[in-house]
Amino acid sequence: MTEKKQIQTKEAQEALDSINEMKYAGLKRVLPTPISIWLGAILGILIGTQIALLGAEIRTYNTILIVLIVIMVIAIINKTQSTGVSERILFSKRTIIISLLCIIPLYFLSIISGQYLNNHFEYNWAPVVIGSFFTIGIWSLMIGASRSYNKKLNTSRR
Amino acid sequence: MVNSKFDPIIHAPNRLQICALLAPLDQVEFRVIREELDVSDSVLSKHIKHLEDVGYINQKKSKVNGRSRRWFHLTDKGRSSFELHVEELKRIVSDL
Repeated sequence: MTEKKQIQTKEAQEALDSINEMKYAGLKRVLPTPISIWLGAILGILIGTQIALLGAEIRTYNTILIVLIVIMVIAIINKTQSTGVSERILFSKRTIIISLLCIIPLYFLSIISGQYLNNHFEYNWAPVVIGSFFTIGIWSLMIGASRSYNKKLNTSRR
Repeated sequence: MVNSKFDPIIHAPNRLQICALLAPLDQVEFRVIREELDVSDSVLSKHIKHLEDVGYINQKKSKVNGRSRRWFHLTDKGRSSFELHVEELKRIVSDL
């Protein structure tokens, strides 16, 4: 008798139930906690503030903002590592590198645009609006990721 | 063409649970696997070694706050075998 024949339907169903249970447990662990969502939101606000201030050519608080951004990034990494699981990113390494290479110029472009609009057209509100867009963008990504995990979790529960 | 294959290595309850836990994730720490499976360190190590020997999972070591941690992930071979095994289980269930 082959191994395929030996396995009973009941045993197969139990195995499938066990698989679903473990998949659900794993996904539940990567679900962003309210603390990590808040950390992400604070990071977004800090980056947005930095863009707005640099756009308005106010460099007084730049050092403290950089220190706070680094602290927030370390806090987020520590929080993620403390969960003991890391999410599966379905994008290829190439896509991630290209995305990063696009985000960095976008960051500097935002600052330069703010400075240009402020200096040449005297649009004093421009750096604030650009900074706010950046903050909203980061916040939207956080919420999007959180919703996507919730969706995955609900799918695996069924 | 049948896209399913029963895998006796994966089918052992604890190993099946390890693969199921690793499947939707990138990496999982030893401590988390032990907590989810509710087994001792030695039992878990034995099953992990078995899966590592056949090339289904790999481990990475990292230091967090000065403490060494072991992270595990499914290899492409392991992921493919696990998916084929799940398909086979589904086929068995749906046959009746």
